[in-house]
Amino acid sequence: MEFFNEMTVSFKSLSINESFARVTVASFVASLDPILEDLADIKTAVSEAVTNSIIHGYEGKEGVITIHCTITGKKVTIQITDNGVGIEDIEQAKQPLYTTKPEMDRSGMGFTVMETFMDEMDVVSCPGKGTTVTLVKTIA
Amino acid sequence: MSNYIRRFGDHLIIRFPKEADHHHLLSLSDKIRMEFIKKGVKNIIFDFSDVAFMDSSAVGLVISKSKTVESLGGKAGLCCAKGHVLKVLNACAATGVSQMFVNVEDAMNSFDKKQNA
Ligand SMILES: Nc1ncnc2c1ncn2[C@@H]1O[C@H](COP(=O)(O)OP(=O)(O)OP(=O)(O)O)[C@@H](O)[C@H]1O
Ligand SMILES: [Mg+2]
Repeated sequence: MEFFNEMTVSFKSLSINESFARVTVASFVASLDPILEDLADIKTAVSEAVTNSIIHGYEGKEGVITIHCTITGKKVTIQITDNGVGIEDIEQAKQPLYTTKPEMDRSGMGFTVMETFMDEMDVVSCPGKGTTVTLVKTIA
Repeated sequence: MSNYIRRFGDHLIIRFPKEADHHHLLSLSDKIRMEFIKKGVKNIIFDFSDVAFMDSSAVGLVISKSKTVESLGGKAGLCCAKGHVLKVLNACAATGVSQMFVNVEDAMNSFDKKQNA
């Protein structure tokens, strides 16, 4: 039987929780004994998605972010969900350098970082309802 | 001035915190802006020596401030970027935006030389 593990964590959309979120996911994944570089990649991608939910999804207002994480064999799947404003045009949002908040010193590279650091990235969003980003990485 | 900002002559040196994410960089942007309002600052140098974690939040700050400095005729440089930091900078294609240096002194010397030439 393949190893299976699962966890869910929900927290307030406060910027102070960005480090909590990535460290929590990293601790959960640690059971797979990943190399440090893989762990750093996962932390970075989680940080990007959570920061997006806080800045763009909830636009600094209060809300809840949920992370659902599964481990199937060596495959880690992380879903980050917010019930924020959502994204009208996902393909446009994913373009490198595309940002709707340039005045906040954003580079528009968050999705590019997630795509580069993970094996797979998928974005599902409904304007007015929220966004779910799914990140997948197989640990060597 | 905060722990993270120092000034040497006309160079402003930004020493990024250990966790260079959105939360930990929130007030840095305004602090850098305030330093620019003061006279004499020309160049900006971003020092990554202490950084253990960073994401695109740090890259956004570097790109935005570098653009400001360069539009005013100054120079922007990055130093002590390695491992994870370098990987994030490369993923954001930010290594092409500012010059890379081994350390702060190296960056200051290079900028001073160019100014006196
Ligand atoms: N959870 C979200 N809810 C609503 N909009 C989002 C969400 N995530 C991303 N977006 C939209 O997609 C755009 C691109 O996101 P991306 O993370 O690539 O860049 P950024 O956040 O603007 O800048 P950076 O991540 O480099 O600081 C954002 O500017 C925003 O308009
Ligand atoms: Mg982002």
